[in-house]
Amino acid sequence: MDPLSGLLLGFQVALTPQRLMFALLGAFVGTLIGALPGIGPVTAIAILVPVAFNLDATDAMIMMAGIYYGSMYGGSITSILLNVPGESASVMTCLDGHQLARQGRAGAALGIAAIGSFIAGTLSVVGLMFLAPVMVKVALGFGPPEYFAVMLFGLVTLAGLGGSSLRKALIMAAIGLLLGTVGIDPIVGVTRFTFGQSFLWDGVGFLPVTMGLFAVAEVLLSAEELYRYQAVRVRLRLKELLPSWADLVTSKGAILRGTVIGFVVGVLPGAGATIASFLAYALERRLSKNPERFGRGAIEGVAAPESANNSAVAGAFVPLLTLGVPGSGATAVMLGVILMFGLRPGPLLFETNPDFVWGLIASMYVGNLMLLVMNLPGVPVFASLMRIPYPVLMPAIIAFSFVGTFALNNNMADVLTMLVFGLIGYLLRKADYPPATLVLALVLGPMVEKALRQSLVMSQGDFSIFVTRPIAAALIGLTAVSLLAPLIIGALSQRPQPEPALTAEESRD
Amino acid sequence: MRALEVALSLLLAAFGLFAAFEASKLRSPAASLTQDVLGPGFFPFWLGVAVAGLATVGLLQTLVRRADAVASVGPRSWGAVGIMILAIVLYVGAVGLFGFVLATFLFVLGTLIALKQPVTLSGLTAAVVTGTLYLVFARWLQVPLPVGPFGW
Repeated sequence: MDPLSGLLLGFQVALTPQRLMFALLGAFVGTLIGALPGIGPVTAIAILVPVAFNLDATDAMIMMAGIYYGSMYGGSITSILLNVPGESASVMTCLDGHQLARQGRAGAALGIAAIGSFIAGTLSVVGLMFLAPVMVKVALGFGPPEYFAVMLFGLVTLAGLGGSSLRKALIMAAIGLLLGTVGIDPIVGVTRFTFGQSFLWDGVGFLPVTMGLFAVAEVLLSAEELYRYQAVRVRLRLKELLPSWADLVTSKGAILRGTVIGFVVGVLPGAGATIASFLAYALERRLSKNPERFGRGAIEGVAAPESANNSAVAGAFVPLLTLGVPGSGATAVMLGVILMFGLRPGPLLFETNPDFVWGLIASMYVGNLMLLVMNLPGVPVFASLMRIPYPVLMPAIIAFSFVGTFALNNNMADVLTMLVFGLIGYLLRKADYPPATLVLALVLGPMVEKALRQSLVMSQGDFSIFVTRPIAAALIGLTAVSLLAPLIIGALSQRPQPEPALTAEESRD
Repeated sequence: MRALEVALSLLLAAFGLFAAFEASKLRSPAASLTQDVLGPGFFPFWLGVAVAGLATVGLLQTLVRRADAVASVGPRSWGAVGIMILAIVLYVGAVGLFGFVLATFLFVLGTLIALKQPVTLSGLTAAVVTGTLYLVFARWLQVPLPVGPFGW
């Protein structure tokens, strides 16, 4: 099916009153949760998975895509008004957004973030629409060795780019893969690591683990800094939310460049919104005639990262839908949901479930428009959330996580799993171990192992199959580069510099 | 922070070794580890080895690093963390005894009062949270939530 026919089908699927309601609900709830300090898209999506799971697959994914978009925008509200990034992709927005807020221009910053997000979100869905079918054609030629290589690449890239320590991220990836082996072996049928417990036969559920690592651990971490997030009274009037014509003219280049960077980076498995927003901000600063304005309230410093992180969302759907390889923690949770519905993301999904795929893509156009229409007048409402004392949110998040996890299989074993992973996640996150890598590895684990073993069956146990097939070899090569580059850069940066010609800030650029 | 790093590295190394040991039991008795590449134990065995190896490297790095090089933590509300952990554990236990509705109301109310929030706000929040979750999950989504001695 060509992209335009697909989109036509998609609009037929998405433009029903019920699905429009789910897109609106997702965008609204996503913004609402994203606007709560310290809660990012992964947590927002994770705590709403149980609600989605009670819906039809297409309804659920339309709602979750709306939550993803909405929470990305919601994160910018706390970044700009409170200087507290909802998650890592909003860090760059804080730099200039909060400065603008302190100068009394919070409305302009929030407005340009909404407009930039809308333009970037819409254009990147066009990219998704045209790139996905091309990727599908390439992916149809993939065998198990290529799938193994692409999943390994995604995991290693996420580990290499995502956290403070490559070693810690690799440990998380290995533990996630190990947890993925719990249950009945998919090839020979023996049970592994079940220790006589029948609830482990189906494996460790990704949802209790995700809820524990994100929602419960997040609450415990927030409890440590209970009084950091002071309730804030923010007064914004609608007319103050519209950026000036000069702001729009100044930002148009930043929005377009941010869109391109965000989409390209988002498509790469393992990279994502955070890297995209960093790159977009750095590029704008480099291109600016007055780079010294950045960090002091430059409107392009809000437009570029906000456009990039929204564009990366659509980009991340390309590997998710065409290869079944999520590029980020949020898309890993979405992959888990798609698998729970019995659908198998990959090139065949476009053949077997075109209504699902194209309905989702079309709903992204609709969702972006809804987000813009809702957010400009809605910002004062979302900003008023910051008046809720943070301690009030903590037991509410726990209660929601409890009932959500219980609702999955109506049993307490999942709740206990969530509790255990909440405590483990709290300790791991305190020591800077990145939980998103574990979740991604847990979701991919069974597929990685299956692809590895099928490849070795094909080659009769010979590992050279991964370097003798061109695509697999290229991906393994890229994986090795991703793995070694941080080590080499780290080693080089520790060597004594002969002349301190650059300041630390300049050398980062 | 240093103690946490050391403790976690030790725990992760032990976990990796345990996983490798358990996985090694899964290979066919006749095959050596390198020959059994298609067996159910091969993949988890090497993952266990990787976890143990990487955690050991981390342990050594932490031990050789000067104590002041490891970031220290600023002032924290440890009491609030303790209250939350205790409240969550009690909540999970109480759901089976009192049912979802009563346990959730008591959990939210008790936690907020323990965190020094005003009683009226705590009561109102407990009622709103419990009511919303009950309506969404029990009534709308028809999830059979645990019931207590009163039948709800």
